[in-house]
Amino acid sequence: MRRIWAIAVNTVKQALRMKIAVAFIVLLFVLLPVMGLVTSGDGTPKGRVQTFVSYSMSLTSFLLCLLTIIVAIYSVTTDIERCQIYTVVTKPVYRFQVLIGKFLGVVLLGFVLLVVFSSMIYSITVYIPRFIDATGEQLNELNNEFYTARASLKPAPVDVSREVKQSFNELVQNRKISDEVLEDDLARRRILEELTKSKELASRSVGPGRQLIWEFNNVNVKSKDPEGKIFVRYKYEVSVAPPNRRIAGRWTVGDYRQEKYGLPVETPLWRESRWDVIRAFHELEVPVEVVADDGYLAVGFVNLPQYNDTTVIFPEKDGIEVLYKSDSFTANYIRATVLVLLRLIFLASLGIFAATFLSFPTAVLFCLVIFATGTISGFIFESFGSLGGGTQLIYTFTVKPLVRMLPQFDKVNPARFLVPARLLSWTLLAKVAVIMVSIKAVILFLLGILVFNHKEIAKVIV
Amino acid sequence: MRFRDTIICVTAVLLSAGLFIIAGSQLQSLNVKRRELGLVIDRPEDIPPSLAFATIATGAFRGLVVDCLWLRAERLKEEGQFFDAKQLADWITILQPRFTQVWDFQAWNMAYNISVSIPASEPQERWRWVKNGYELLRDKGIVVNPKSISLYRRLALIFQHKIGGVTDDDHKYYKLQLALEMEPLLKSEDNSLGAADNRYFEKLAKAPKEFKKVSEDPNFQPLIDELRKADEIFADSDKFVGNYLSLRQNPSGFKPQAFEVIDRFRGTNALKKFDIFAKAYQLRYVWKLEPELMVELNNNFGPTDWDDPNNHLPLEWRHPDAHAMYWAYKALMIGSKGEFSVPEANADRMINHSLQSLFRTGKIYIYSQIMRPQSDSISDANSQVPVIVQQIYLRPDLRMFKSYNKAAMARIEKYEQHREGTTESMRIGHRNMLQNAILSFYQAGLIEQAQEIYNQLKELYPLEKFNVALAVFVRQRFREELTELRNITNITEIIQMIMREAYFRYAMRDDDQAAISENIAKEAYDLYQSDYANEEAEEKQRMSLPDYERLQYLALIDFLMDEQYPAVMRNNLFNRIEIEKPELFEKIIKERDRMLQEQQQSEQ
Repeated sequence: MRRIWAIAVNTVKQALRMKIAVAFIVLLFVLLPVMGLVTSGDGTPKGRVQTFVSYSMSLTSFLLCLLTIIVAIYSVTTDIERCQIYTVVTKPVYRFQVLIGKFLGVVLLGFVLLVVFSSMIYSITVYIPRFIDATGEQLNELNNEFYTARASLKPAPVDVSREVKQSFNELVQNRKISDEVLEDDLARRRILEELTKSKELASRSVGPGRQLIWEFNNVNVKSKDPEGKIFVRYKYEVSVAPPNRRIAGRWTVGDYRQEKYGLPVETPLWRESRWDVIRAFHELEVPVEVVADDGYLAVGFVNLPQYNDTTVIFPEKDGIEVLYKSDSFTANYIRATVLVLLRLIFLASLGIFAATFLSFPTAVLFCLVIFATGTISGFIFESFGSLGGGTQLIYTFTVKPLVRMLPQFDKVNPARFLVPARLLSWTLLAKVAVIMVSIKAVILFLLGILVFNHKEIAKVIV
Repeated sequence: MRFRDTIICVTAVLLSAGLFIIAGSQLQSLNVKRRELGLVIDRPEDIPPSLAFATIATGAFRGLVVDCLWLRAERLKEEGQFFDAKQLADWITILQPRFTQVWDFQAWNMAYNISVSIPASEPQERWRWVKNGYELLRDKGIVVNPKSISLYRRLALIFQHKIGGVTDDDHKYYKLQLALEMEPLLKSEDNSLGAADNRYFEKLAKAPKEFKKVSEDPNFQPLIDELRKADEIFADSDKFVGNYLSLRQNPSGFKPQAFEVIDRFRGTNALKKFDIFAKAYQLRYVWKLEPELMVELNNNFGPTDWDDPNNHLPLEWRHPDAHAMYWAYKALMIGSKGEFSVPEANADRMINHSLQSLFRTGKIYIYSQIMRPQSDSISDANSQVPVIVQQIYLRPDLRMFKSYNKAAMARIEKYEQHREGTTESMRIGHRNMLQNAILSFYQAGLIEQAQEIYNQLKELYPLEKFNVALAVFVRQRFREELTELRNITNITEIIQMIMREAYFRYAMRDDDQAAISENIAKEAYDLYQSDYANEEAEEKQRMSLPDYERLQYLALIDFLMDEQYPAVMRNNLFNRIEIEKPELFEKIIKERDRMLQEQQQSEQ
């Protein structure tokens, strides 16, 4: 362990001597406070804080990732190229211990820098409202919608298999489906798929004068204080866009079982009628008292027929969700920082692996390509999804599996949780840690050890 | 080197030299083309530092950076997050400043898309985004692209349609905010000259343009020096004018000594002139409205002075359509090429629409009332602080007709040589407007003007239906409007609506217009009743309207119960009627008693 620790410490010292490391560190020390002063967002305190956190976390993460890649590769390739490694491998230290020491050093450096800069970001984030004289109302908005961690509950997918089967049987009985089609498995499957899609769509649609109710359990609001709020976030699609692009709806939130089963009213029902623009997100702010003691909550929507003559459809992915305060901003922020650390660990592992068989520039290029691909993986999947025919096929069997193997950094971007105040749960963190670190990083590291163990150290690399 | 290699080298050198010379010879024509297409910033020192830095720093990656920013903006928009929209718009426009569609799109996105995604119950938030939209164009887009007609048009459209229109739920809030922001700049500090006086605008136009010049003028130096001594906030020359105007509107934000300086200089020429300069400065550098052009617009398009029909009064600069007209006019000044162009035709159309709008809604009333917020908590000190609540009402301004008419005729004449479809629709619009104007003038008692317009209508559009006397035409037209809704309930509603308008005007102390509305209501009533004078008794009874006094009483009750008008206004109206119109008050009380009696009888 001492040997590994010695190599790690040496690696850190070597990194700090690198001009690029010093440049990145100084850049962050200068830029972060400047960003805190300069970013204005949409002019509101909340917008300002959101913009600052978004850009500062992204910048810090990006620069530290670059630094990790460069330092990890540099620490190995320089030793090999300048033959300094001879002084190490000739000592009674195993090659894998050398790599572990290098890895540990890189991760340690990344960890320390991450702690320093994330503390800076946290301090600036917390103090921004004091510098800009936010009003009481604005501070309230900040506390409810930013300085918090809101868990999200989405309605469970509706199981329409019974209705689909019923509809299919009706079609067969009414001879709407010919015998040839019945015998053809592919055709049968397609009919069932279409029926399923249409039933699923119907389960999310509300015609004029009709109502849709979503029920949620496990709304674990930690404290039911009078100031507590929950949020219902929703978006409308419509079958026919109204001329003014708005829909009138009546919302009811609370324990619907009281009405349905005629139970004594113990928790209030909250109601509001409002006009909302279609295809844009809206949030209802509801007092926390409406949640039943057992964590049950129902949200009802009525498509008001006197104002609307179109069907309202709630998109499957983000049509409706309930947001409630589940943890503090500080805890969420710490988890977001850990997410960045996991990223650094993976990149350190990748850098070390690449350095074992590539020269410095080639290894850096290799790692940057993987890093960039991982960062825009979502965009890649979306854009290739719009290709047609043969190109799609080629992509599906070649590029797509390769990109899937890489970590998808954009999906677990810390800013995506901090900015809209969404809970970054320990579960998700653990999942990322297992996949990104325990599996992918470890595999890469082991491969690196394998290569390094069999590498001819004295061989000239061109 | 071998002979062959030498030949190749020499040939290559000669070829490259030749190509350089040919390329160089094209440079002059390319520069001329650049100037013609408006791709050159006339004064390179006017390039904002941010643009210069961005161009150099990003280098060849500028396009890539812009793509990333656009993608981010689009993604955040889809997620419904707008906190970064303004910042991204700023950066995208910094990196692509000469690409006018970028400015156009970003301004439209903020003013329209983002503002409507905010609930209508937060008008101040919505207004902020509408302002972000037009300020982006006015303060940055047009500065960098001074020759882009599309940007001027978009700016004019935001004023005309978004703020001046009625499609947005919070359109009244926008109108009010614009009016309140302009109001302090439209009168002299001693109130001797105001927004309705051409001399005020002429003084604004003649005021000095630079603060430096003013600060060196010995006439103003004592005032400026004393203000600087009184409050250190006036030390900053760049913000001096803004701070002075803030001091005049809201002294509580400054040290008391600063306002004492104003008190000491009150009535002096120095203060009067400085005040004019400050307001002109604010219009010029904050609102980007040049007073000289405002004077020109007032002279060309201002409302007619009834006392001197050849004279134009100033436009109502608190109205969004005045601003729309200003920017559309600027587009014309830049884009007018002498030959037909679509952008120019669109700019002309915008001016026309603005003039129509000012005719229909050009009179602004802002009603202020003091309200004490309700609070159950005795210890809550804030509940004791009264707030001033203001509401805005817009009404027709008949004085705008002549300007509209003149502009419409000029526009028709201008486009007569071009496509027929263009002038045909213009003529139909003009004809309809003339017919509406005749009715409005006639009902307002301005018979002479109505006759003048009618004569013009007959001359320009010799249709059969115009071959009647003015009074007959007006009656026919009025009947057409009423009989389009051939239904007693609707007629009653129309008459009561006109009566409510009369009550509103009376409450706003616009007695002349109140009298006009009362006359219109009576005329409508008489016209409808006369249509059934010869009917059978049963039909006559069925179709007949209630007594006129009954309708007056019901209309008054409607007005007093109508919550769109402030409670104080409604109470004041009732008191005014009681004191100043005792005969009307007596009729109303009699009618009330009669109704109560009828009700009691029916219950028995």
